[in-house]
Amino acid sequence: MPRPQPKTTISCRLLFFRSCANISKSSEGEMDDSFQRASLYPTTLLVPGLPANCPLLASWSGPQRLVLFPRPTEGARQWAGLAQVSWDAAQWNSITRRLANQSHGYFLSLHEAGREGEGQSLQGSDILLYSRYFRSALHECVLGLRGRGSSSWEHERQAQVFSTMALVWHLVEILFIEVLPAGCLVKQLVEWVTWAGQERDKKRLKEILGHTPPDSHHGYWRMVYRLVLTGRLSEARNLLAHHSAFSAREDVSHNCSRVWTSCWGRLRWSDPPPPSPEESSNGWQQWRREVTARREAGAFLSLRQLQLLSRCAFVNTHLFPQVLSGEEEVFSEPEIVGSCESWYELMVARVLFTTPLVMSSDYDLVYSAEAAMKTFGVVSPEPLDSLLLAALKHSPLEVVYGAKLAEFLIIEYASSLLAHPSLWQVAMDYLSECPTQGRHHMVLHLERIPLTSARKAAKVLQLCRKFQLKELEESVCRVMAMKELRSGRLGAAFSWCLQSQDSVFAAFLAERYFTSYQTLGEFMDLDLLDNLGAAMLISKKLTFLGKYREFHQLFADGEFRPAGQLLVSLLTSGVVPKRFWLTLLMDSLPLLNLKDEIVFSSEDTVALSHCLQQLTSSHSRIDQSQSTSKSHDSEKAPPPDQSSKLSLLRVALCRNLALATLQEAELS
Amino acid sequence: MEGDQPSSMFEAKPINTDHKDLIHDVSYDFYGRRMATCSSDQSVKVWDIGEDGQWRCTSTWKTHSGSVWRVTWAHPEFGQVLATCSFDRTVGVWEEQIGDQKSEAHWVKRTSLVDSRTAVNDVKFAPRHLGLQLASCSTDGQLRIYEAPDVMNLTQWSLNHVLSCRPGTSCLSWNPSTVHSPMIVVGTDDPSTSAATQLLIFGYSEETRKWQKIHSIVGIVYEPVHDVAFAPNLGRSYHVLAVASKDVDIIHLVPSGTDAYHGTKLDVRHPAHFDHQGAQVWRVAWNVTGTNPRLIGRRWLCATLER
Repeated sequence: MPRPQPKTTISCRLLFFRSCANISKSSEGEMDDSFQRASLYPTTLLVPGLPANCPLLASWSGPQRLVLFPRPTEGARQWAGLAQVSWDAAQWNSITRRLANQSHGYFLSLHEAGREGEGQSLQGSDILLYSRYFRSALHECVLGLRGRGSSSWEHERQAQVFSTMALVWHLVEILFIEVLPAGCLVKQLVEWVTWAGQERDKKRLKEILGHTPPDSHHGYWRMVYRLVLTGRLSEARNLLAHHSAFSAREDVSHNCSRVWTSCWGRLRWSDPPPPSPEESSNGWQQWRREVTARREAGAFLSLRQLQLLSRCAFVNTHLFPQVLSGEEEVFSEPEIVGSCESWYELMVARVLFTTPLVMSSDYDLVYSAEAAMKTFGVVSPEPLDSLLLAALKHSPLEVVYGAKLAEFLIIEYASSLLAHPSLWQVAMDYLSECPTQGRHHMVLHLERIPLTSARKAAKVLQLCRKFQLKELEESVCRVMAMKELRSGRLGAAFSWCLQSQDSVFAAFLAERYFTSYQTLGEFMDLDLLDNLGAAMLISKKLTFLGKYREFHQLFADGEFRPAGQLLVSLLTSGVVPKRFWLTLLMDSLPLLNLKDEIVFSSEDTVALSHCLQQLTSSHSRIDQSQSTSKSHDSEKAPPPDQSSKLSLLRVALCRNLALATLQEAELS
Repeated sequence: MEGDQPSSMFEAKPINTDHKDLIHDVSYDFYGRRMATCSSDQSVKVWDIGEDGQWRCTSTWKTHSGSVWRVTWAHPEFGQVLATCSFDRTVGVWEEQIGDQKSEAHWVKRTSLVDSRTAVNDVKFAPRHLGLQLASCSTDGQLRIYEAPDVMNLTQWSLNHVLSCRPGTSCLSWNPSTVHSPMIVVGTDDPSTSAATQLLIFGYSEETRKWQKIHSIVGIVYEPVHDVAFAPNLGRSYHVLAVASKDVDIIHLVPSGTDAYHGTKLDVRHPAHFDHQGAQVWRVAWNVTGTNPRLIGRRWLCATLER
């Protein structure tokens, strides 16, 4: 009866240490490993049922899996159990796996395209295309994760990660991949900032418009500000037009919209096709002058409607013209700041109205970013903030570390893919693109892929051949061959061995095969032997086996002469180990005893006799040694029936020699 | 203070083994789909993972007449083979026989290596490329290296080399590198002598066809060594070793030519040391690519008793 386990839930600390390839010290030409306590771990985890305060041991059980076993030195000796610990198990669910497969496809296509280009760098349009595919795949993944009926904490966390990833990638695409002339960048930035929040904004707008009157909704003015700040002036105008103060009077709304239209209509510096830098610069300056002029002329103030608004809603409507004319101070106003969801929205708004002709390499961007962060009150930047800022600054990270960092990251990613059994081939493709370390990792991981079926083994072999991993190919074939051998399927074992052209193992199997023939008296798996073809040549023993089978076939077909010649050549070639000689010699017996034909010439007969002589003398030597010593060696004295076989052979050979000599004498 | 991950990222699942006494070792086969556990109840259990991810015990049998300290799998190229070492001074080699039905697999003793006069504390198979070889270390400080020349005949093992270390050898590890000549590290946990050499490196020379001591690691580890492990090579020119004693040490061994006896000379570097604040570290194990050693010690943050 099993002893009762103590019912305690224990927290224990696991300590992991990661090697962080110290990429900057590349003086040795190798990645210098330095180990640090990994920042992700240690963790406190609850392990049910382990006894407290005793040594704890562990073993790796697979990628991201461990097994713990306590070894109490005193007390609690009766506990003898294990605890299996796994982490990030839910990392690769069906949705994220889809993303992994899709991005894998894009990765491969990009590299294919790069190779086809033959040294030319990849076309910018190609990269852009795949960048956009990737972003849409990310978006799809996020939707999938959030769209599930019961969205667990884990899914939400993953969705967060991927949507952040999409945000950063989009910015990188804008800044580095799709580099358009002046004036277009800002439009892209606007698009970037609004893209993420599109759904949410639409919903809010709908909600606001659903209210009657819309301006009574608490979020009305914030929305208006948002629309202006993100350059959606026409929408802002529409929303304003819905204000209750306007609906009453047609002419008022008409005037209002005229002013707006004229302002917006002149905002030509960002319309496609992008005009030359001078034109856009001129266009923008002109627009700005006009807005400022109108503002100073009190055009905005003269809109009694807006005055009305400001009285009703205590809203600072004179902010609008300030925004439009790009005055920097306005971007610190609380209402403006308050209507932005994040500091980068504020930054883009600032850039849109103050320096819309900015290029990705201009410092203006960074300046705006930092100012926005400060205004927004970002004291300790989150990883996302640092990342965005680094991208804007064209951080030298990529410039200096370049390929090494990329390789390190790819290897890390590939290793994480291996946590899920269905993603191993994807991981291998990624590893194959890492020039320095990829191959080593590939071999180490590939040899650990469980060969659960012939099909899986075939896939592994295919990869081995593709990347010329000859040793691994042989090893995999040997493992599979051993499995077959243990189940007694010699033929199947052979076929695995031949796949990798493994001569050592082939020799070993050939011997085994022959031994089984000797015991059983017949060949197993004849198909294999018959169809060896050129594969025979990979090992001498295998060649012998093939030829031996050929001998039997010739005999069966009645071709005695060729059969006999073959037999003699086999015995004299030295390919056959001595312990099989008797069998072959016995095979010659029926040929020797043929009534009608003399198969063996006198020379052949002499050769055969010689072999026989060697056999008998070696047996007699063993006889002698056995009588003098008491050791049990593997070679035993010939049993009585063997001696009779030998004498039969002697008689037959003598007879044949006589007949052959006579025949030859007659012929000459 | 390191940030702790929320524990829901980790899953812990108990496995009830039905061993009657302490478990001393758990070892996984090459692919991580079979597990062997050995215990003070003198038996070994072999487990297979099912489609549902649950471990099921497929074999259990008595292996020794004393506590079984370690169990280890051979490379699958040699079939399904286990080696065990025990307090009863012997090393056992076991092979799985498949019966007529798959479920009838049972394990058969192929040989018992009885050369040691004291308890055998660790047994490890050599890396695949060295053929079917086995190293064992005993309490009296002897390191023995055996070989099975015919991989299909596991009953024949020849004791090729016996090497003397300091008494109290507790653990050993083969260097898995395929591009360097064979190397073994041996650790001792004998606290009686205060010498600062708890680690010895042995190397095999092709010229002399002999194993010899090529290095004593001095001045790094002063405490009894409970476990050692070479990391996978990954194309490095030097070797990486993890040592579990009172703390954890990572040691680099850099080859620097050969000495008069054709042994490799090694320069020792000590790039990392992790203090465990008084707790002993019992095990150290590398993951597949050798980037992530896993150390376990007597570290319990808090114990919450729930009845």
